[in-house]
Amino acid sequence: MKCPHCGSPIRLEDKYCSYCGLPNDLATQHQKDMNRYQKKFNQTRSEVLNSTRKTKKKLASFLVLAVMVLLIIASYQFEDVSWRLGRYLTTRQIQSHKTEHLAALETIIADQDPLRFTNYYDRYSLYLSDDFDSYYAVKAISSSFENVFQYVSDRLSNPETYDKDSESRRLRTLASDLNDIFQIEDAYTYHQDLYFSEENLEYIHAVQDDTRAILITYLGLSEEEADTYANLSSSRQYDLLERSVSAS
Amino acid sequence: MKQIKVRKKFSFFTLAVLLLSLVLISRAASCIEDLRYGFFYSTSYSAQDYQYALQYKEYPYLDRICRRDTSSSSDPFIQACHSISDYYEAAILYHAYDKAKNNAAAQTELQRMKTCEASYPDYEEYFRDIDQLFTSY
Repeated sequence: MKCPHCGSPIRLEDKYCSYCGLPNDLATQHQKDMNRYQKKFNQTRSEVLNSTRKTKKKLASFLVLAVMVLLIIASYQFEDVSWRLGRYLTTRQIQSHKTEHLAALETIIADQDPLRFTNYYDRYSLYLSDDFDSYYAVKAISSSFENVFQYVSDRLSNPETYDKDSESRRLRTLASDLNDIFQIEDAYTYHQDLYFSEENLEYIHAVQDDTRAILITYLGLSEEEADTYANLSSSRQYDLLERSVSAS
Repeated sequence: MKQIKVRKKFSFFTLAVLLLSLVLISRAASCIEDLRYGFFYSTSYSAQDYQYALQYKEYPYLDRICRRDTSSSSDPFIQACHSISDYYEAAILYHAYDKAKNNAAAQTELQRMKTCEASYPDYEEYFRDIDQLFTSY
């Protein structure tokens, strides 16, 4: 630019003309304008930064929530996979010890020990393999016998522990287990050849005899009542149990 | 006003993260349990469990944990507990067989009881306590 007083070349920022020494009025105005622009610039920059920061924060929160939701969805998918994997590994383990398991079960059946049978079968999850399907009825009667045994055991050690309602519920469960024991052959007629081999039947009858002995000894039934118990209707079985248990 | 608004947003986010974390933890536990079942299925009880059962003479509980316990502990105390449980189980069956006049089975159970007793003479107190349960049978 040129000095408004002498026309010499000066810069806009120069406060005085270096040729004539007079003040440059435009420089003051220029400084004021620059200050205003700087202030506006700073304000705008601060607003932009704030807005970006807020957006970033929101985005981060959203991302955290989204990742968590995705992980939860993935866990449902993985659960199915992990369950299958777990089951597959267990089944493989069962199959690699199949001969030992079969021998052990045969020994337990020969010993006619239902408590040991249930324990062994559950411990090795043999229900996961089809190779042990022939023991299905034996397992069912053994489990029911274990429940009856448990009832007797609890009652023997803690005769007064249960209130009337709980005792009534326990008696109904007991009646159901007894029914399962005595009606086992009727319950599995559809696979009779598979489930009721000669050895299995011998075992099943032995468990039924043991249950009768328990009915007489610990649940107060007479020998005659124990012998006819299986032929009674469910409601009469329950009535008989309730009467004899409360009297014994 | 502006501050309150910000705080509200923050607490909603915290609550959502907390809830999702809980769900996520339970999901993870479930998955781990499934895998654990496949890799090393076991049910084991500590010596404290046995101690509790014996201290309070909870023979049904002792019998239950002895049957469920898949760990084959060599701890002499746990082995003694297994023997006491075996005695209790045999005693229940012995009295049932005896009353039903199934002499052969009764003798087998009696022998089982004698074996348990002979193996752990130091625990005679418990064997006698179990015998007391059968005085009315």
